Formats: sequence, structure tokens, C-alpha cells
Amino acid sequence: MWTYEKRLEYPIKIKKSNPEMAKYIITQYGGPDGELGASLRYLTQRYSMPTPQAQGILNDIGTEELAHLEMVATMVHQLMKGASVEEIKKAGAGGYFADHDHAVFYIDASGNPWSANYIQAKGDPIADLTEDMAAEQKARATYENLIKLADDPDVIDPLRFLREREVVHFQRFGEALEIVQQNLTNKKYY
Amino acid sequence: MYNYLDPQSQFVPTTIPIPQYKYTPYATSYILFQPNTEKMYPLEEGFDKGTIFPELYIPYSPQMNKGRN
Amino acid sequence: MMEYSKEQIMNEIQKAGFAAVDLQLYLDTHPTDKKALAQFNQYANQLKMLKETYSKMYGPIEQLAPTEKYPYAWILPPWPWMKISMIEEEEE
Repeated sequence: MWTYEKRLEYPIKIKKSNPEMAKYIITQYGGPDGELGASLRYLTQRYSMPTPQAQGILNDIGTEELAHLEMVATMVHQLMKGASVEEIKKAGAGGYFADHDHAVFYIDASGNPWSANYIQAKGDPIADLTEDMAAEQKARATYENLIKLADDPDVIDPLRFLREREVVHFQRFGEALEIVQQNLTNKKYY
Repeated sequence: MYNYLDPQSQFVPTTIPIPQYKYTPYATSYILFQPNTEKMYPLEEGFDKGTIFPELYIPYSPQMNKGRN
Repeated sequence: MMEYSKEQIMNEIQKAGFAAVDLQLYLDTHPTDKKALAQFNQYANQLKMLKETYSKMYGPIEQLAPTEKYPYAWILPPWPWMKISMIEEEEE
């Protein structure tokens, strides 16, 4: 089960609103390589995963991704807060405003809604863990793109943190894949 | 070993090579390594860089993908 | 413990909490690493102590931890996603 700790995993204190940046960053909320997909993918793959190490890592990285989902939403929220409707229109976020006002919603940078098509739970541990490693690389690459798009240090700092977490997750999933493969080859069969 | 003629045998993907991996910006090959828990970042630094283990910290620089586009 | 401001204690909680998370993930795939387990416990204990201090002074930080503040302070802003204005701890 989950309980909540009333804090962010990493501090986010964005002073200047920037609806254009919010429009880009929202892709890590509801986009194909974002944190919603990551958390739901890992948390649903864990049910069919063998070996305690892999079960643990899917459970725990899935949980950390929820904390990252919250961080991305916080960035979008703070970037939109205080922006006038004129500024929002000028940033090309008028369509988003029409549908969501200042709410944070699960869409990508082009306005496409989040989809379960972005994830898979194959039930085959090799396929699932390999997908997870790919997912972490895609997320890492996306954060690098967002860092390139940003110039506010208050925005770049949490993006940098999130990027590095993807690198660490990639490492852990690779270890889990190796452990699972070793366990499968060691299995006794007749 | 899996034998499709024998219904008792069990498929094990032994032909898949065990990945030797390490994240590199250019990700063309993978190298296995283990973080050394004796060497950790000072907490403040590790917190800023997103990991306590120095080997896992890959600093981002715009030069990373230079020349690839 | 010397006098820390609310923001300072929160920062310490985030740092110790982060170290605990990073080491916890490592232990998932390295359950026999004694050094890592010792380091994890060091940060986990630090985190526990910091959360107790913070919540006594500033209200609950854990959903299911006992709390003596009245009225029920868990619901009070700032929530973690809020933009804190420079002047007061209230969202603009």
C-alpha cells in the first residue's frame, strides 16, 4: 500500500512563470516517455515478475516514479501560476487553457492524452525488464531535450535531478535483468 | 535445455547474452560495473547530482550529442 | 540540535530521504551488501529523527504518524507543489 509524505523528493522553487516551458515539460507528465507511464508500467509489471530482487526493484522504482510524477506536475503548476491569459495565449498554450485552465492534465507536449498504449506488461520477465531499460533511456533523453529548451536555473535544477535518476534506474533494471536471467538458467528442469 | 520434442522440458532463454551494460551518452556498447559503496558522494553533492554513487553520475553537457544531428 | 529554520530542516529531510531512497534501490539488487545496508540504516535513522523534529514544530509530514497539533494540521498549506511567495508562506 502507499502512504504519503508531505514533501517533494527534491526541492522545486520556480519564481518566474513561463507557460511555454510548462507546455514542453508536461510531456513528462502525460507523454509517451513520462513519469505516469513509468510508474504504471513498473507497478503493473511487478505482479508477474519472478525473483525477489526484480519484484523489489519494480515495486520501489515504480513508487519513486510517482514522486517524480508529482515533481513534474509541480513544475507545470508553478510555471503556469501567475501567468496572464495573454501570456498563455502568446506561449501557444491557449488550447490547453481552454480545456484545463490552470489544472495539470495527462497530455504530451502536443496535447495528445496519455494512453496505455505507451506501456506494456508482457508477463515475460526478459521482455518486461528490457522494455524498462529502454523506457529509462527514453526518459533520460527527453529530460536532456527539456534541459536544452530551458534557460531558468530554477527549472533546469530539478530537470537535472530527474535526468540523473533515469540513469540510476537504468542501472538497477539492468542488474535485475541479469539476476533474472541467471535464475532462469539455474532453474532445474527435466 | 529446451527440446521441443519433449513436452516435459522447459524453455529457458539461454541463447540471450547476459547484458554487460553501463550508461554512456553514446550508448553503442554496454559495460558492467558495480558501484563501490565505500566511495559515496558527500550527501550534499550526491543530492544535487541525483545519486549517492559517483560512478553513476553522468554530468549532462550540451556537447554530448554533438555531431550526431 | 542547533536552531534550524523550517526550510533548513525540510532540506535536511530531503537530503537524508534521498540518500535512503538511492541506497534502498541499490539494496533491492544487492541484498547481501553489508556496507550498503549499514549506510542505508544510518540515513534511515537520521531521516526518522528529522521527521520527528519537523512534525513536532511544523505539523505532520507523514500521513499515518500520530500528531498532537489541533485542529488537524495535515490539511494546512503549504502543500508540496505550491509556489511560495517571497513575503509570506501562502500561495499568491
